[in-house]
Amino acid sequence: MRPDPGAVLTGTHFLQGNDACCEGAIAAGCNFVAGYPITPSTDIIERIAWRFPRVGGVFIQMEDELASSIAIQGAVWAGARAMTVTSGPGFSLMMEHIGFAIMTETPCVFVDVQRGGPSTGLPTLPGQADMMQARWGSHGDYEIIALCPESPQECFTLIIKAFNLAEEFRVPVMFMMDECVAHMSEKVVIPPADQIEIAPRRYADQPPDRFVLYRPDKDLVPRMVKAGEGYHFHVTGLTHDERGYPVITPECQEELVSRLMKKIRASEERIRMIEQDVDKDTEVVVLSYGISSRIVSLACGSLQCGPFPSL
Amino acid sequence: MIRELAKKVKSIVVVEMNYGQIYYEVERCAAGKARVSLAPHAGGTVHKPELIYEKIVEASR
Repeated sequence: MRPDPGAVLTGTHFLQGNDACCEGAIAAGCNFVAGYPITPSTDIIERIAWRFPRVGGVFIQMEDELASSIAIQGAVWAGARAMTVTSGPGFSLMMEHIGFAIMTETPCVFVDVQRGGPSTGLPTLPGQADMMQARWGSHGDYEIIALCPESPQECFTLIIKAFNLAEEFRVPVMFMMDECVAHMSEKVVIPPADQIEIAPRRYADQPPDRFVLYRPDKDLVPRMVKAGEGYHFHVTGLTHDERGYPVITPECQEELVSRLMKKIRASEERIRMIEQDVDKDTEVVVLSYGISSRIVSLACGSLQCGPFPSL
Repeated sequence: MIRELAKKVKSIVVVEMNYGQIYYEVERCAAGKARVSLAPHAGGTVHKPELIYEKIVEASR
């Protein structure tokens, strides 16, 4: 599936990471964003609010992060491709609804532009301390997907990947930016729409009378339906059976939660994205992500040129 | 991936802008096969490259 050519800002641009994230989301087919402004992520929704009227998307500034994180899920069940955007304090408020998206298998994207914390911390300065919150922040047992861009270019390309993974696995995907990447401006190359691959939503092909809402395909991911197309369905955060109705038993819990875990774990190698430069003589590996990986590149480069003058 | 890598290298240095989050996952997966160390940072600015350089040199000893 390809994006609408009229919506994609094809060309070579000088963009900050936040703007590139916005353009990547549009290229990924995102057409619904609900958010509550918070530094250092505000530029993303400012640009969304400016761009969406031109490309047919809907942006709603909600009353808070709780509302934002559930509004996107309603939009998804109505057929939208949706994301919300926040930073640490807002991310904390979204945790319950991230769990809801996991349990209801609602494909959506949560962008967290990390700043220094805890609490309101350092609104305008970087941090990378929300990583375990992305992994474990909501209660219950689950697997999650998180991506971490290190440049404005990656903000563009990886947010498209985030939307695609969300659709493929029917899972909320965490897009873990940081303030430095968000506010740094660099060259961003946006390809023509016909060179951008976007994963279509996996809709049911059975008629409404034969459709079972949470009956999984072979890859353990069930198909979706869209409200208003004749399907009657029930979506709940309670432990549910294949019909989507609550069944409060250990057996149903085992079946559901183990499938939610397995659908991600079984594809871990395909989901994982890393850049590595390791050969057979490598003795020391430096592992990093986001803006820190760029400082690591600088430090590793200096190993070939000799120590820093200050040492 | 880390499990396999840890069998082949002497040391892994984790650089992240926190006091150890992904670091503990790497340490768990390395399972003692390679030494794992952390270059921590509380946030507010990026690491100084010379400190990472120092960590790499230390890890290679």
